[in-house]
Amino acid sequence: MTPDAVLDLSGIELAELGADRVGVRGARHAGRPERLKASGYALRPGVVMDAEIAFAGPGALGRSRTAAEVLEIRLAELGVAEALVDTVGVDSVLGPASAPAACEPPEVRVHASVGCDDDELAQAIEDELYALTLAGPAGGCALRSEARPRFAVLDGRVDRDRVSVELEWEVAR
Amino acid sequence: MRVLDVASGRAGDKGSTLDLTIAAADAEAYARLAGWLSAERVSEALGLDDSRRYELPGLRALKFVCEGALGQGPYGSLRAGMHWQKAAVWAVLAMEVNDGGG
Repeated sequence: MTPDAVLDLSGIELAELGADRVGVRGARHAGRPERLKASGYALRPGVVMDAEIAFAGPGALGRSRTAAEVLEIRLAELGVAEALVDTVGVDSVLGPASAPAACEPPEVRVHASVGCDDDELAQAIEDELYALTLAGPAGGCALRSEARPRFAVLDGRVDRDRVSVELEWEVAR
Repeated sequence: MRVLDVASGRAGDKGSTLDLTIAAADAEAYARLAGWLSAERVSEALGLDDSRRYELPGLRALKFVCEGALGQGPYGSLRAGMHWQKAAVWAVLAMEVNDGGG
């Protein structure tokens, strides 16, 4: 969807016209949208505390699972509303769509991201990860943590007549 | 046969919407994927409630639009690091095509 047209690409066809020449045809103008696509960024108060602890060597996966369980319990006790615990190297990217681990990995990282309304909670989460080096499964190590901004992307439609178009040119120096 | 044996794919995003495109290598592969790779199967592979499928026969491509799949968008995600959605198409490419065709 563009401001000028809803572009229907479902009938597109490609044809080889010659060396380095490709023909594209079949795009269709499906009317001018009365509402325009809009995206906005919202910065919520607080931070996302994003922290990890690693386990390596024999039994790393089993030890990481124990650490993840402990962490889930501790986060529940802290009363966090917005949290995710996963395992880097196993399911941190695709989540529930991850294929099961086919072999014992040489190392894994237990990862937690927690939406925190204030710095105090963020510090408490970081402390929980550090505590696992002393009171968690054997060999918890190689910690990293980062407090990142709580960005959210919001999208929707706005009425065309509420949008005024303005163009500004600036010369980069 | 897995989807990736006869197709390639790309993932895109707009706000909370995940957008996956699977392009078949030839007309035969497109016909087979169009017959088997349903919106329901893709939703299940991704662990999502719902997705919509669009067919682009001229491009031999199938497009899957999954509204709400990305929560608060690529930046608000709680997953380890941002923009995990770029890998989402691999969950579809890895699917075994169980249509009896080997």
